[in-house]
Amino acid sequence: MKVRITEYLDINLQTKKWCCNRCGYEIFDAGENYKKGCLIYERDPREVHNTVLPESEFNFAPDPDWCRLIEIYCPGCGTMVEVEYLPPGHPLTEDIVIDLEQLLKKYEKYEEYKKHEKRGGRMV
Amino acid sequence: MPKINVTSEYRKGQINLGEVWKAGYPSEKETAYTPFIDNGDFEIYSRKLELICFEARQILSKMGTTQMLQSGDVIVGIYTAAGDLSCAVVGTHLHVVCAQIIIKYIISKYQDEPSVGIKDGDLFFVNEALLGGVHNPDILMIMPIFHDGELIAWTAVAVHEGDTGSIDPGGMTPRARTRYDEGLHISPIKVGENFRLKKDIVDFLENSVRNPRQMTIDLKARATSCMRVRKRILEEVVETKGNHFFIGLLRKNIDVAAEAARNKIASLNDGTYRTVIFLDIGIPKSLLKITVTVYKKGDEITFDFNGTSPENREGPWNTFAHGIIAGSAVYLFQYFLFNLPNCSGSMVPFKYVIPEGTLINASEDAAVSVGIITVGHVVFYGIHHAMSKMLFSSPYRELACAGWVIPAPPWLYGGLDQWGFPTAGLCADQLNATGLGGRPDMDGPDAAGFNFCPSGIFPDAEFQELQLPFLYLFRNRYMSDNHGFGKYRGGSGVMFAVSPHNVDSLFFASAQGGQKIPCNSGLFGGYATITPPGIQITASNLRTLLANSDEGIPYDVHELLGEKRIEGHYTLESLMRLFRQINSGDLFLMPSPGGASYGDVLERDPELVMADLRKNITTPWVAQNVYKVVYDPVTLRVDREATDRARRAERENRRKRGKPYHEFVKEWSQRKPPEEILTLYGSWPNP
Repeated sequence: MKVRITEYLDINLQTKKWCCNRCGYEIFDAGENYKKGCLIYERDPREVHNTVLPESEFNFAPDPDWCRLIEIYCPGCGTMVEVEYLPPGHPLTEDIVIDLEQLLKKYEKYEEYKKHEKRGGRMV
Repeated sequence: MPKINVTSEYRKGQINLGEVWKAGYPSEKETAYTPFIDNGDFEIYSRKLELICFEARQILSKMGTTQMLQSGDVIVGIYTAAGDLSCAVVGTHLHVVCAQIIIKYIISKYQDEPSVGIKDGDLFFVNEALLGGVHNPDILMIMPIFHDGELIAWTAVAVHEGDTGSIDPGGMTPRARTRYDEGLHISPIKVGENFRLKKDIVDFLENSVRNPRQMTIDLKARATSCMRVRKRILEEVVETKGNHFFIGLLRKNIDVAAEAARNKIASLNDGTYRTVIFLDIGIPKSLLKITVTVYKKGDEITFDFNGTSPENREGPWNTFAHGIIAGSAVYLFQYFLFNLPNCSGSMVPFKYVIPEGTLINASEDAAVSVGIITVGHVVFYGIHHAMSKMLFSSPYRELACAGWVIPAPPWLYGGLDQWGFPTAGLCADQLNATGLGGRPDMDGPDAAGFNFCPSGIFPDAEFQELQLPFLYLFRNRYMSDNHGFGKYRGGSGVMFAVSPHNVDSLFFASAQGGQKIPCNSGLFGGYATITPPGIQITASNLRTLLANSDEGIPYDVHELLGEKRIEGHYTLESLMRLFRQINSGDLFLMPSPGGASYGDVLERDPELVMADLRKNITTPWVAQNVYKVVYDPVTLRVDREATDRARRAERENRRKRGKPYHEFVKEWSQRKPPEEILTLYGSWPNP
């Protein structure tokens, strides 16, 4: 069984892996930072955020000396699962750490409920 | 629940002084009366209290003159006899929470103090940030409610006032370095007794600020609202149902909300959710870092802010801890706990770790007047962002959205108005028209409002021009590309240009960071919003163009900057702008940015991109280069097959250009920003 954790990330409760919700690619151990199994790309933020007056220091786009755009992709299908705007060299954020033990217990109960429901009974 | 311990330490406003912002233990009377409130009466009368607050809020907004007040950025709350929030209508969520701190301070300091006391008909005035005012332009009026000689409740109203007598107009000056630059710091005083405002205190307040007439009119608006709440509570609840019913009703509201909040939290996945945000401050140019870590276990949530930059004395970017706690209610009451009463019970399951000496738990004499709208704003976004990551995998998935936009910059003015009277204040335009973040199922609403006050209105332009010596050159068009791009884009905001009118000149300032690095990354692969600069045009020929009804007069910022249709000296700079003189015919521009986005741009429905092109919310450059949509530029008809091919190719490009994590980190970790932009940051990379 897979539990959807974000728009693009599931956790497979059997394999205990982060998986891509779009292509099913097994990304990394669910007890670790999913970004460790992703592809990472750094780009100049002005490639996405267009400038209004390119010659000006302040021009509606982030300053590439202060800020780099970090895109995080699924290795299986290239879906962009997350982005970060970081100063050069700042560590990537470990943004989601799921308590796997609690998640497993929660869905064990859910599975029991579903089985019971199929038999026409009611859980109290 | 820890027992409330109000001590002399309370003066510091630090959170280690007891959890005075959340519900305390029920009193003996509350414990005795609450079980007898049946569910039918509870439904009817708790709703009645909300409607009483709602009417008082309308009275406040209609009677007052401050721009934030007229725009509805106000609160009206009802509190138990002990000062716990039971019911409120917002407005600005911050203040309903903070007023508890002040009420409990008044009780602890003055109830048994013979020279002061607490009596029927008293009206307390307070703006002291250390005691719950957040920053000193936020002025609260608080009134005890007695019946048959018994103190049965309190009511509080609050709104941001136009001036505080600080070193610059508007009370939020970027020049402030300590609290002593920020004007009035009034600990609770009786501005009224026996249901009347006291002339000597009103004169004192008038004498302390740049806009005395506004101060007095708004004081009267506050007093009227307080008295209206009192009158209706007494006539419509207490006199028919009795003190015991009303006391039990207020407590039941709190107890029901606390239980419901715990149940909601228990349904979420246990875990740790984190947001790291950077804010660039223009004076001096430096990065600041804010870290929000949300720990969820069982039916409790802890917000931990370790990893936040240290307090600094270069400007008023600091806040006090209680402001951050109250600010968490900005998110909680709007989103996660939206269907529970705005009361202290809702906040019972939440804990806070706010390290001393950081920007968000500053020392007693720190300047804080701009902190809540800069650093505080960022913190509240961080809470929203981290909570959204938790809520996606829960029964509340629809609440997992990108947050309100940052920065929403305060725009301040001062000078003589068109009638020759002194004027000063903070305008609501740029705050109340920002875009909301993209959601899992739809784009963020355009020009949705202000995250501190989602119900605040974008004030009417003509009404503003009637009251103030301004002329808006443009204000009513969405600014294209000023939102985040994603599967569901952020709501669009606007950008407006204003010129002094019917006066020779005015003084303008703005106070916000976020021009070098976005403060609000999108959610789940969505991009951030823009980093809008401050713009002004001096020595312009605008008056000549207007006199000639010139067809080339620009009506949005792209026309203005791209085509330079107005002659003059153009300045683009940080939004942290000190007060400067702007002459009639010159222009001062302010952004009201769009929201951050949700999801991968390549999943956006191409037809939505075309709809945005038709509305000029998105430019062709973004449609083609970011969204990878192939279309006929004349008919805006989408070539589906070509778009699918372009998007497949982009996904393939991503797989080729992306590096494995460890390879990326090996190179990335060798880099560091220039030292000169880390002067206020703290130790790199973890302050």
